[in-house]
Amino acid sequence: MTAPRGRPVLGAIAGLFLGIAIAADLLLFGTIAVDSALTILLPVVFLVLGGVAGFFAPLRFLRR
Amino acid sequence: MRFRPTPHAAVAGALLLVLAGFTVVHAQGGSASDNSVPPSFTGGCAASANIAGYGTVDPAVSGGVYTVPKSGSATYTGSVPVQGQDRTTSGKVQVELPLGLPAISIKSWGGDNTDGNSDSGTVTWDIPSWLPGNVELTVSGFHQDEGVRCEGRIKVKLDGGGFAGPIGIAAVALTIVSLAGLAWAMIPRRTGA
Repeated sequence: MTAPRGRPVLGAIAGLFLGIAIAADLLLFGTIAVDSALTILLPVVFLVLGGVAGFFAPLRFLRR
Repeated sequence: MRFRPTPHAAVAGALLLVLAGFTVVHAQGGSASDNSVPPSFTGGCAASANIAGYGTVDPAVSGGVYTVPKSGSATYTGSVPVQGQDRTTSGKVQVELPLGLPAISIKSWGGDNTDGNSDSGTVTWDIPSWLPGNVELTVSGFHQDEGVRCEGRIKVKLDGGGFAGPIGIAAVALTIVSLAGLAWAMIPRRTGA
């Protein structure tokens, strides 16, 4: 099994909170309604994306 | 000389991209939702309100999203298709809040000896200032009478900017912190000695 290169757990947690934050920002912009499915979908999607991004850690050029 | 970006520059760049995306989404959104909400009013009653400086709201005729002030007053009229003396009635108009927060009551009425079948007057409200503006909320109302129940709801946006209050500041801060955390998680860990 391939070992993760980055931090998948941190990525998933950060992704979850980023999804919540983006949903809140879109709500405050008035782009989506409170009862929109995006308020649930965005945190879930970003949780998964964050986990995957943390696993593969593509920002190699930022490693000192 | 070779450009070598720092984590701070990467996070700032990602943040700028997200904010640029929001700006585009916001510019396209505009008032698109204003006519997307149909009227919602059942039961055969009639009700309308004239909000000072903001126009008339009639949930039986017009849907859409109304912009209303956080503090204000409105003159209202309402009637029910019921006759009779000493009827038992109840009713309420309230602003529903998200996340299970308790609703804000605008007006409630009722009793065991209702005689008439219409009412008019003025109602005032003062919604807490910490509630952000520009967020689409639901105002619902009902009137329970003998043999009749009327229900209606409209969508409103509180006047004012969404990011002016503490909730807006917290949302921006959470966006920045979680973006930084995600960027850090995407940097490969050092392996080996």
